[in-house]
Amino acid sequence: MRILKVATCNLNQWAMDFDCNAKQIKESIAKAKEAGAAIRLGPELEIPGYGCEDHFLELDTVNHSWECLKDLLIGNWTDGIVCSFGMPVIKASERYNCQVLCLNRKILIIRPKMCLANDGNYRELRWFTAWKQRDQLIDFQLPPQISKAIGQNSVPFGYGFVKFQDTAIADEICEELFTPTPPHSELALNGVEVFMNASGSHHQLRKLDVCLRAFIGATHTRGGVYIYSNHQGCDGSRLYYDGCASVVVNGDVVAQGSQFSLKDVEVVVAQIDLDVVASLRGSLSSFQEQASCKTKVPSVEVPYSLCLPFNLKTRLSLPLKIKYHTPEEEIAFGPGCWLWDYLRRSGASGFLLPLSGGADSSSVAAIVGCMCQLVVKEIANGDEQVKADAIRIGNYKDGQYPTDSREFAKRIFYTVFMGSENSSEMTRSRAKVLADEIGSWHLDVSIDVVVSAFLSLFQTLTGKRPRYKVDGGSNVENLSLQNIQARIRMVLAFMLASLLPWVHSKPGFYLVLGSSNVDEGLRGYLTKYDCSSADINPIGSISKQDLRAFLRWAAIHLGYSSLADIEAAPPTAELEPIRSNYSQLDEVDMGMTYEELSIYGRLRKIFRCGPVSMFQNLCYRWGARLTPSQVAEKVKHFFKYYSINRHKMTVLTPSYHAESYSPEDNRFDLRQFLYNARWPYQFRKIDELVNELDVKDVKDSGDHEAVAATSDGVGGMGVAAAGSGNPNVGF
Amino acid sequence: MRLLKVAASNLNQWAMDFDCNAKQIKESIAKAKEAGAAIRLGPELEIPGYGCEDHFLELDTVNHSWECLKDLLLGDWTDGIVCSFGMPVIKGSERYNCQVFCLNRKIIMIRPKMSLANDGNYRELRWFTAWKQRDQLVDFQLPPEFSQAIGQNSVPFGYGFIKFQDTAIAAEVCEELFTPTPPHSELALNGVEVFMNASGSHHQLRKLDVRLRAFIGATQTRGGVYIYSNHQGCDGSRLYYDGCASVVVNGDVVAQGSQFSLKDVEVVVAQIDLDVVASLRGSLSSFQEQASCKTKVPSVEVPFSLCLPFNLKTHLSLPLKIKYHTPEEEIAFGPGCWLWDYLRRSGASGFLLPLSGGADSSSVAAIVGCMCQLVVKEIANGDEQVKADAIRIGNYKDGLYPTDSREFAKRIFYTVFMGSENSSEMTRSRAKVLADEIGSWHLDVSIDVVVSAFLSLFQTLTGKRPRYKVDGGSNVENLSLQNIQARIRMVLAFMLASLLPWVHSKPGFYLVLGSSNVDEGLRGYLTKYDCSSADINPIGSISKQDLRAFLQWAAIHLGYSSLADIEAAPPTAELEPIRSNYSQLDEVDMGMTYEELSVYGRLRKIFRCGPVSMFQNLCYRWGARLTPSQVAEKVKHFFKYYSINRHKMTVLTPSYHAESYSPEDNRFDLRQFLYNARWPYQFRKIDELVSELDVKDVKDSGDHEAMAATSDGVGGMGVAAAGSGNPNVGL
Repeated sequence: MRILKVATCNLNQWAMDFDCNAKQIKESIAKAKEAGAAIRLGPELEIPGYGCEDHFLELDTVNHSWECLKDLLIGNWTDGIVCSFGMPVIKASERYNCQVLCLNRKILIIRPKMCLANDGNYRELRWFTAWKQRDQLIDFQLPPQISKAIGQNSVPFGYGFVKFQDTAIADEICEELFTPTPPHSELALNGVEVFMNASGSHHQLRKLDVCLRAFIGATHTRGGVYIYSNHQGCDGSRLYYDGCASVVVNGDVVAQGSQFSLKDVEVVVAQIDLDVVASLRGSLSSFQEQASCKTKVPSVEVPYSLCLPFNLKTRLSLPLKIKYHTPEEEIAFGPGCWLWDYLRRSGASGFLLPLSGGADSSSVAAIVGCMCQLVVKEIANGDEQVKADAIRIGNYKDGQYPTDSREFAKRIFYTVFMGSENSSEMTRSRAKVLADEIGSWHLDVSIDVVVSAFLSLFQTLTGKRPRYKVDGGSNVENLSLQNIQARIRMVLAFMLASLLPWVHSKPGFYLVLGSSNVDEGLRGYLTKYDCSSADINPIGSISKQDLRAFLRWAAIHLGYSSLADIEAAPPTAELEPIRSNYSQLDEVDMGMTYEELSIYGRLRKIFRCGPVSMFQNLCYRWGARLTPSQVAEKVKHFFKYYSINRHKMTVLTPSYHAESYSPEDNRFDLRQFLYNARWPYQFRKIDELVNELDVKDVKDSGDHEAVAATSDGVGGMGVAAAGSGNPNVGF
Repeated sequence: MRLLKVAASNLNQWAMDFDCNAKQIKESIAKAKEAGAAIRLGPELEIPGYGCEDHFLELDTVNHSWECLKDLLLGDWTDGIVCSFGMPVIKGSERYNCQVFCLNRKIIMIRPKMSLANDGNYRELRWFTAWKQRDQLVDFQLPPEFSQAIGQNSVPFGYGFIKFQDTAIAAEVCEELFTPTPPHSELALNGVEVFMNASGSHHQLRKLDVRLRAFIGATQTRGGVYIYSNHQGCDGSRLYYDGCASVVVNGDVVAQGSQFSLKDVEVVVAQIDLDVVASLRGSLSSFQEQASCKTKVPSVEVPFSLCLPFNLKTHLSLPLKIKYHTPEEEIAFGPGCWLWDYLRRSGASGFLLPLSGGADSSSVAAIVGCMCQLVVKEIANGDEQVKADAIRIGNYKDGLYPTDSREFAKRIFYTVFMGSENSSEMTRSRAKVLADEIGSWHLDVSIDVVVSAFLSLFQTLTGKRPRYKVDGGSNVENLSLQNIQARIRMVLAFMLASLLPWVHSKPGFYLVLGSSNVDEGLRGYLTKYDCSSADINPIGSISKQDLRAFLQWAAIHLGYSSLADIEAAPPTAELEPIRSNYSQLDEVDMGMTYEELSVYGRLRKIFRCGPVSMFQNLCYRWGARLTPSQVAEKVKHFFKYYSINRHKMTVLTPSYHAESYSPEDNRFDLRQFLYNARWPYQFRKIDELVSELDVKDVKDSGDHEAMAATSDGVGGMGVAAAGSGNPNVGL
């Protein structure tokens, strides 16, 4: 037996905060050592933080990283434990994203990343270049200050593995695992038994299994120990890095860290018998055959042993059942933890939310409530950092601290119902009941006097007064009246957020929370600079359907039972007057249902369809009940409104990133905002197809819908028509 | 003599509008043929448009491009003329950004781009991969529908040049020219005489010479003809592609197209004697020596002659003096043309601008006025497209059309002075005078009744009424009162923009223009969702100092003489009451001057300085008059306010991209928006440096400022301390 204890971590780093990051790295090493680990793996670019973005172009960022590494190596942190640190390194004139493997105050090897993530939210090729000289390790001259401090002049640099006396280990960094030819394949043939994946992976709904499947796949048939480390938390932007530090042995998950947490440092330890790897590989004829004629990978030999011989002092880690959160839990905990990081790191004193009693703002309120519950629970569990932050934010005195989530919410969370003559008593009541359940400080305000002031001003200026459509006004007047109300609510929200601390003699300021959802963003069903214009938005890339499921879940699991009633109510913006024969409903206003919007969203982004491809795929999906002409009409309607409203995405409030089809313009979904919204070429192509199809294919298309319906919720990456109905698709 | 006539084009393509793009491509070919050209070069990715962004990931975009190319080749467009078309091509599973060379209805070769632009605003590696097999041309199977239509099954694909009977030509696509080892070097050694650069280059202030220097450098010492085509106009986003189609022979510019224009198609033609290339190369011993042992580049032979023999029918093109616009002209014409494209392509009927009488909003007003002048001038010059657009936008009837820019402005441009009790009579008057000069429809509104309504509402709700600092209020109250006014102005602007067409029985809607400048963005000296929250902003990435110079220029060259007074007034936001002993000034409020902000901006972005590097460079720059401690204080002050306000960049109104140090978050400057604004690590490093410097270096630093002052305006890319004061630096 060769018994190896390994430690991996979830770290809540903060981009560019080198003190915070260094402190947490040290804490993770201390915990790993305390547990007796021989290896400690940290996440990708952990020293400066993964999310430094264009700061990676600054030499300061590289210099500071070296300074921090020097500090780690001068102290006793790496005594007796192999540590892999993530940081940028400049070799000659090239900047690389590197893992620096250290042991006993020396650097063993610097391993640059070979495949850089450059899709979706990732931009690594903007800041780094990929290492391409895979056949050799070269000598890297350490910067003089480092060299002098640690007494080492040069180290091996490049793609290679480290041979210890009793095993071989190697890095496989984040994106490299997901490439068509991941390094672990040939590394295994070269005798590497332990793979270390330092990652910077952010949360996306329903996607954890993609990651875990990859770790399992890397070791299941070829053997090996796969160690995964990730960031966890908000390090400065829309992304929540969702942890899940794990250890997998021959396809078995033997250790799994949390996916969402308020902790800054979480260390996961596993004790493994490496002989199971050698044993499995020895029994595989194909492995033996391929290993015997392998491409040789460079290596560094280190005269040091990582393993212990057989002993009974500690147990071997056993296979675990993998823990997955339900989508509703992902929606509660991901944004909840993100809000907490944002709150404590921004210096704000709390949140202010315009609460309309509708599904969207109620979802946000529930998420803040969930955050409060998490804080109280974590304090009860003894987390001193959470406690210190909560005391500061909640302005507790005399040794007091939060013990009840409703009491904590009262201090840090304001909800405001901003009613007008168009609001119903029902929604006002729902808002109040929910606020009571969560514990927020609830205000009930009427905006009519301000609306009236604007309208009077306009009438004085122009001699005209706009009317609602229901009262005989034109569409232009009607829309404008709605927009005025919506924007007044935004002005009021920010006014209250900045002045309420003063009113209540509290320090700081409140962050205004927005609450538009991903489907409204996609369609453009929001007023530019209305209440969705806020400081941050926890649900801006979550779909309406997911939010409604979340509300049902939260009514039970968070204890806010009024959410069930809120979820059951039909969605309306409540910006037009209610008359006996007229009631405003979102889906009627938009000309499409939320379900349809999710389908359009997935086809547009996940399956990368333009108008023609979308039409073709939807003919398969909807062909049982719609003619090609009808499908064409719907597709054209979507693309018209998507494109004329795209400009609204350019000023969208930063939202927690969750959904694979988000239209977010700053980082995830890069499109122009000035389209020819008539799409003349594309729509003409669709019309040509409709003419062909209507004539010859209509009789034979009856079975398609049944096929699509049967496959809903199953797979879909291989069949766009089916996948567009599956919220699990995407990466 | 080998006489060759070549045509380069500026095309105003529109991303994803294949009909518009195809029409303009055809028009450019027709003009080239009419001029007798043997070669016609179009800009990069001209068939779908350069700015399709994530739409490049859609197979539809590639398919539609092939369909358009088929249409071009089925007709007689390429009869007798070599045409290079830009479009995406998928070979195997790889997507390439390609130039497709065609002649006589056949494809000669497809040339994929080998170096992709991936910095600043460019994201080519997100959508394409670079061609790396430089040593061979491979056989590319044309798509079946295409192959069938033109009777050609496969074409050469890859890096190579085309040998005609009388000369050799090759593509060098955009970014490739700016790489450390551009292809033109080895192509020249292989006998290529004509280089064709299809580009998608956007405008940046003061940077045209960077491009022209590159064309000249490519051919001056090694000989050759360099043909450059570019997009010109707004094809869907913040960028204005600034044309400058050119032809350069042995370092002489012999044809140069416009940099800014309202025309959709501009073709530049030059007639060249290719023997000057052969003659120059033959006389260069080093060229001969290197050519004799060159690396061989693959080629395609075409049995066709491009040149004419000696004749006197047309003149040879002569060297031109290169025309550069002054920075003030760049600011007038770039945003002016961008606004026109946005206006006519968005379907809007005009613009609405809150006009405060201050420098920023007056700059925007002047730019709109300039746009109107350009429109009238272009119509007078016979441009039918501009005329048709202007008739539609201005709602002209009975054959009428714009002949006077002030009359045109009256129809399409509303300016609104939104006064409050804090506004001065002076600024109200300035706004009105300027509006008269430009011709806009000017409104004068007081917002006090609405401010009062908000404050009454707040008092009713909380029992308190906030006061200004000058009246004894706290900073929190003071700031909140300013923000309320600012946001009310935004609500009013959008209200007027949507309702004024209805009031005046006009169709359509107005675009709200914003007017914050780049320095305010960098510092965060703007209220989130105030009047800078608009639809588009023509000056959002232009510095205050440039805007003031522009105002002085425009007072004379645009004929708006009141701008001189506006420029002379000290900048103020006018959101606090004027009292006899208190007056609000921007630079006092911000704690830094606009000049300092430009210096910080350049160091931050162009020279990529973090806090420590910025401190070091500014010690050199300011050392004659500030101690290191004082410099440190200033740097810390900047980084504090830059980082606590960074979140405002995430919802910044889309602005015309002009300045190399813009903090725009959506495309150009990617940073996190949640910083540790105390920068503990970085500021500690600065303090350590200050301690060292104050003691030992202060006596020797006297000459640095003088040195910096001497070099202002000259160079600077090599000396950051000097370059931070030079508005010309950057690429």
